[in-house]
Amino acid sequence: MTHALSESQVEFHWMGDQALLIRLRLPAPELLDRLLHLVRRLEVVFWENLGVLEWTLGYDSVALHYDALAVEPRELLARAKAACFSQEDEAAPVGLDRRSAEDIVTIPVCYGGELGPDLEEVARGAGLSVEEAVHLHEGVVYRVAVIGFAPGFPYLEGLDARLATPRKATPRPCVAAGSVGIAGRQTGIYSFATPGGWQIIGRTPIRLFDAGLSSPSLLQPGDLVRFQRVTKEEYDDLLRA
Amino acid sequence: MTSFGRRHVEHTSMGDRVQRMGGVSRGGSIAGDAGGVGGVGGVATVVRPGAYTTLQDAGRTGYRNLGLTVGGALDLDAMRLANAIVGNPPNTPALECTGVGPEIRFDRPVCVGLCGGDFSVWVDDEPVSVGRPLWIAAGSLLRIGAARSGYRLYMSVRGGFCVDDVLGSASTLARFGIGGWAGRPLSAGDRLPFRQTAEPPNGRSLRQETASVVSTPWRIDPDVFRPDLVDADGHVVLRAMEGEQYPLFDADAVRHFWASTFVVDGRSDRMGIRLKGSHVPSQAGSMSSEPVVPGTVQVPPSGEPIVLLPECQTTGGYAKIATVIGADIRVLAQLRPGDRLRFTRVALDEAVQLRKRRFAAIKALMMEIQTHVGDI
Repeated sequence: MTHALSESQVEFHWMGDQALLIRLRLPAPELLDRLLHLVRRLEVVFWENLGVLEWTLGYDSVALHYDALAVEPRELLARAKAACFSQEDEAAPVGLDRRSAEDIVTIPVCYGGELGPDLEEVARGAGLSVEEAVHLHEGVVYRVAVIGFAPGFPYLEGLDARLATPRKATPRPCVAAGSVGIAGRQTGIYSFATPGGWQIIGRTPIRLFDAGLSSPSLLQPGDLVRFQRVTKEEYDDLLRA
Repeated sequence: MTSFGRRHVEHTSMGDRVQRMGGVSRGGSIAGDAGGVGGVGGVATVVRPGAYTTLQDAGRTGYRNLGLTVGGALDLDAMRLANAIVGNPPNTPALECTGVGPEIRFDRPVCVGLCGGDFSVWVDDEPVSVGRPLWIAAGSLLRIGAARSGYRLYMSVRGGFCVDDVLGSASTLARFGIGGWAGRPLSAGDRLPFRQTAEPPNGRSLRQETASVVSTPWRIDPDVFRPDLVDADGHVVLRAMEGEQYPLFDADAVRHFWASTFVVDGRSDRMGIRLKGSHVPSQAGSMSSEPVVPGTVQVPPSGEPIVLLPECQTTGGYAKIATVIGADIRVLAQLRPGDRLRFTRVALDEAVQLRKRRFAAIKALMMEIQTHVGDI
């Protein structure tokens, strides 16, 4: 299959003289794959160009951060277009595109109770028992769409539509690190203690971001994630480990 | 900033006094214990921390895709010039002072550089001026007071502070406890080791300022740190490009945005500047998370814009009406609560030209400083 995009599927926006935003107009099922593929193309296209500093992924977009002292914006745009529209893409190594089942990151979660104070509200809103709500949340393989808000904070796609719950009317001044939350159709994990308005249904003892590691984030965009329910005792044991 | 490019380094008329002094006296209170302890030059003890003082360098690049902000000095030019005047590499970690600076005592002789906003500064009880290297005697107290204009001042020490890099940078990201000095702003009693003691050299062009300070007869023109553009009412004018959701704002909202005067709100920090005083009607609403950059102007449902600064989140969900250009980020860094500002529209080509011009001017200034510092 070809990954080349058509002109009507791509928009380019300058983010000042600091970044180029590339937005894909594609339906959700293929959006993330196409974005991740585009990022890999861009990494090759700009491989030797030190003027392109890094990239940030959004839900339907990728920003290329550049240094206007080192790369001409027009050249940047021309190369980005080439990455989007070139057809010579048939040889993309298929094996690298999709992760296998072994690559699923399992994240232990203690649901409900004091670690998940909004679980009952989420279940009630969905017309489900707490047990059913937990079952729906841990029974799915999610994909990391965006890492944002805080270092290592994953926005996961794949939440069962029945669990979709609006944010809390009043955000909490402090949500504990490891808290697993729901906001609309998204689920995610607070990587640091921060203020936050997501519905908190549980907590993981796993650390999502460690600045002391050269690869500091547990998760990256495109990673597959599954939640696994643990008891409070198991949670405490893992926390101590 | 009409003097810029002609008068970077302001020569004071103290040459004859330097002559009379016959160079610098190395006796008296300037003489401290030479050499360091355990490979460390000396210790800077924080007596009062100031309003919000953090160690910053050029920031952490390469981790935005993992949600980690770049951060670093908000006024990079000022930080780099503070390093240049003490002979450091430009991106050496320096202290960023906000509004009111710290009081710091040095146990060894030290050479300090202060650049950025116009702050009142004393060594012990004697006022000193900023924008040039200050050789301070051991045991003296450097007191950085309040900003008279501007908002952020950078303090370098010759040789640099001894701090470890975290993910390639010594910048403090206090929100997440990452980097800098213990991952947080300075507090009273902190003891920061610095690498190098610095006695004033036997430079013919130095002069004794006070009992405990030796400095140069030249300094950086304070205009270098002021905004390029100020309107007839004295309000700062920020140059900005149309933002990613610009077309989603209606004609009234857009006209209002470019015509209004905004006021910097007190609830501003290193992540962003909140504006009040005028509301931009927003029909654009919120969108799913997408990348943002320093300079992004978001309009939340309240209609009061937020201008993002270098420590901003990597993604945001509010409609983006404009982006302040790269050359004016350092102007944002010097705005303080209550300051008035407005925006003026520029195109990409102009933004790039302005950035190149500013960079060239700062580089030329740093070269000039190097010849002066080398001369000492």
